[in-house]
Amino acid sequence: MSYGLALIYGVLKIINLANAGFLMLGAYVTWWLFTAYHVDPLLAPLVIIPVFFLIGVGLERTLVRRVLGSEPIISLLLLFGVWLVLQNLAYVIWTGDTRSIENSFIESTVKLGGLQLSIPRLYVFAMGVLSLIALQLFLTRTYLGRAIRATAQDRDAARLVGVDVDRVMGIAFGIGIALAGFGGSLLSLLFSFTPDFGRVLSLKSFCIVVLGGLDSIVGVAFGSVALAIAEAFGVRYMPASMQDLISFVVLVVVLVALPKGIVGTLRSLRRG
Amino acid sequence: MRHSFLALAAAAVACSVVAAATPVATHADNGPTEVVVGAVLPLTGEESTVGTYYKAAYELATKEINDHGGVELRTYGRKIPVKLIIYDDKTDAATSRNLYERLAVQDHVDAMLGGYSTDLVQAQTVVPNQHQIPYVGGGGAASAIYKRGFKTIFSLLASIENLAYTECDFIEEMQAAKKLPKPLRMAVVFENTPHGQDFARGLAQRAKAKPQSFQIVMNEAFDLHGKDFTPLLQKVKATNANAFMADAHLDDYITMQRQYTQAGMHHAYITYGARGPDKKGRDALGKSADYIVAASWWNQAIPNAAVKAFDDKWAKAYPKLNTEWYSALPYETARTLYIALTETGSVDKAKLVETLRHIDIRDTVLPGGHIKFPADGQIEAPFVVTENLPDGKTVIVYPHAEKTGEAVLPVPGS
Amino acid sequence: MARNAAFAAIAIAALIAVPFVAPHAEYALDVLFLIFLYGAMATAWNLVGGFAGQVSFGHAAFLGIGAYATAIMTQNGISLWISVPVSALLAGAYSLVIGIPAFRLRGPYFSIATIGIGEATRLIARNWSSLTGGVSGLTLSSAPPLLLQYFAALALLVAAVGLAAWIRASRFGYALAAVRQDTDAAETLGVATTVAKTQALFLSACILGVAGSVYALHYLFVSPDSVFGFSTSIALVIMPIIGGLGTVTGPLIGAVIYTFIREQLAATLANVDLLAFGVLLIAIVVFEPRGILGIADRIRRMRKPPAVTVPDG
Repeated sequence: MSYGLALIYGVLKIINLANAGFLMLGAYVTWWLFTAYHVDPLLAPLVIIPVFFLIGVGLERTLVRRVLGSEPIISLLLLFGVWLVLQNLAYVIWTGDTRSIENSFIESTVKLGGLQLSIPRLYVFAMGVLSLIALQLFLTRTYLGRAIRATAQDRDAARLVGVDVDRVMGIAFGIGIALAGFGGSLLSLLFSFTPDFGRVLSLKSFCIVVLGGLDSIVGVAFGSVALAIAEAFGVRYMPASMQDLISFVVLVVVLVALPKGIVGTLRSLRRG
Repeated sequence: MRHSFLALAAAAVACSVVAAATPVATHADNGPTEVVVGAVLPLTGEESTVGTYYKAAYELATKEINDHGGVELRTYGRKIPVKLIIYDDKTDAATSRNLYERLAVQDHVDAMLGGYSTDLVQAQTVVPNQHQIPYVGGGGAASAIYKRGFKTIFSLLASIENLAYTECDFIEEMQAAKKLPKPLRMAVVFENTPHGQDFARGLAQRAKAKPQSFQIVMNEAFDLHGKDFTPLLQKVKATNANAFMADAHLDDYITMQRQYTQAGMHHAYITYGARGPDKKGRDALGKSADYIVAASWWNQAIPNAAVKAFDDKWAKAYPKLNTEWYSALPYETARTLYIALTETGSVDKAKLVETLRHIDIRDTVLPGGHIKFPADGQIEAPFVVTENLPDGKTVIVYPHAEKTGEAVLPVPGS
Repeated sequence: MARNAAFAAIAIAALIAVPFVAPHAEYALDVLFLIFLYGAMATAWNLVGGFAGQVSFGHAAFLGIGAYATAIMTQNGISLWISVPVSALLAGAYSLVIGIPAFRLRGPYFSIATIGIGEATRLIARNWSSLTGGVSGLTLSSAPPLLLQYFAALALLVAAVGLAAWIRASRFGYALAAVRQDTDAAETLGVATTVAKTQALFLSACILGVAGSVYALHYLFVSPDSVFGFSTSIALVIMPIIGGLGTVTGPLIGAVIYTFIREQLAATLANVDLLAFGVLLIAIVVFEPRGILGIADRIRRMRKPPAVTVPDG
């Protein structure tokens, strides 16, 4: 889901607080398809990705585009409003009860050389890596992907060389939302959730994006690993209930000390 | 211009003042037209499962009273029906407290029934104390709630420290029968509420008093209503514990035990305090919930006629809700209030508190059957220890008076 | 200006009279009390979020610090004459601790950082049990009389709105407006932008610190999730935006609307209130970023022939 955030930021220069809402919605749609229609939670992304993509494109067309010209804080507040609506809509529809997906896959484990590993965890990890690779290939090897990158770097220059910038921005926003929904669907396999599900996780994913620098996809992978290591080590020396504190502290420290992110800072050091 | 908005605000304010200033209907000497009783429960949010049971139980007890014409209040020489008001606090402590305030100042309740779960009860009880309204609860077990000198608060839920002692007594019996290792090396994890702290304190006291039977190799709090306990469980795994002693609420218990199984963990003894036999947990966890030992305030397997009768009554009223301790405790809570009202003979709040202080009820479905409040307002009732066995079976393994089966310990495969 | 002052005087006098006219209207006084408290908090948030354009999603931290400080001092028998000012200063001090690093960030980054700061503060409060009582928080056993609370909250509101009106008309207010419009340009014009932002945050935090004291003494209950909760921070963002970002009376109007809607819906239709606020927020941001005051302005212009108006807030 961090990639979604990075993509939207890169192309639109908008920090998308609604990401948290779509992440949560992805988890709920997976759960709802599973409990109401017995759709295997592993198949839910096949529905979620296209639908969320369309929702994202629609959101960009109807609302986000209107505020693109104004101060950055306005778009932040707009997407904050979208998040507020999604979250409370979920409260009204599904109540605040804790939900979780329960089937035999979720409980399954595998023994690998004396270590017992949870299969859903491995699956989620693998899907995360796969989608990152796919995204990277899409951005570097396809016309549309290159157009997205060109728009991210310089909107006006992209327009000059004939990129349909409006369309590209809509698509990029749609992909970002689709990835958030996909991420939520994957995470519903690991955690129980409430309509407040997305907040801490999306703060974490923001932390990852910031760690890796705000507009590089490779940086995102780097940021994920860095945060995971920081958390794993941190928890050894502090109570487990303080785990989330690590990511918030990392977030604030990195934002303040290295506003370009670690990758960006290294790059400018090399150049400097 | 801009002032029109201030004017609008002022007008709105004035309207609300006039509306609220209309005199509250005061009852004449022949008594009120109804006895107003209020409760705020977690009907949605993390504690919604238990909250829904409390609502059902309060309504069942109230319906029984109203089917007979209401509570008999001799001062007014007649029976007066009970009006029960229930709000939803969404499992949020501040909301819970505010809605109790609403019961007090807007609904003018005569008495309050308690909410559920320690942290909410701790917050909400400031209201009955401030307004001196009698409050009978069955949902906050931590002893800290009753050590604050609040005079109008009563609870039917015995303390978690006693729960921990009861489990220790049972463990010693198992150690004597060579069914559990001695000493038992305990990894203690508890939610960071007074509920969890009570549990940890109880175990720590036993470990101190009887080091040859109990050792604590890990002692750590976790966040209430957490979503991921894997880091905590990794720490537990790294110890040489042979017993996993957790104290958790229903949602945390389900999340944690699932992750416990996923992490491939085993101990000779597993407990989650009062959680374990709950149908919701067993449905959610399947085989992962087998062999969990729990000490609870009540269990439907208690072999006596009153319990059987209550079980039947509950099943008839709520065929979709399995009978749990959180059916029986709130039912007896509401019944205690109605008995106290009848004994008081009026809705005088101070007199009702006085009655509750001296009340002595014998024919209840609680273990031991006896309801009586000590000076701090929290009952001292015995617990029953249960163990989950395969195929959804639950047996009471302690104390002897209530025993329905033999414990299977250590946990097979550990 | 004179008309503004006269109107404010009449409004204050009327609100002072309410408890004497209707002494038994406990519930109405309760609602008014909440409006005063929220109005003061929203006005305080607006000093930073509206005047200086630095939208903070972590302002509950200051309320929480004030509330905890007062609760802890009251439990230890310290007089309110000492505990309330100390609470304000502690909240102010905390604002310096987080403001100095956080203001190195601009616009949206500052906002995101404040979410992190707010959450970190809440987590610390949850885990520092010996001081804060952990998740279950602290309870106090007796409240000051309702009348006293009512007047205390009213006084706080008057002070907050008065301060906002004064700042808006002062050099300091112009410096903040310059920061909001274009920080770089303000710097070149010689405005010490970071100092101005930090000062605004400090004043804002002090008001919230006192609001925290009032909160603790009214609710008698302080817990990390209630005072440090994200929902409190959200409420503080919503109220000024609804009323009119960066105006003097906007936050108060927002507080009146917020409190009424919440009181009507909270007990019966949980979360529908926040859903409504979310929709309102989107509509305002997209169509009229100046909030209800902006809408009023439009209506007025439709009725009257166009004239050059200086927004007077």
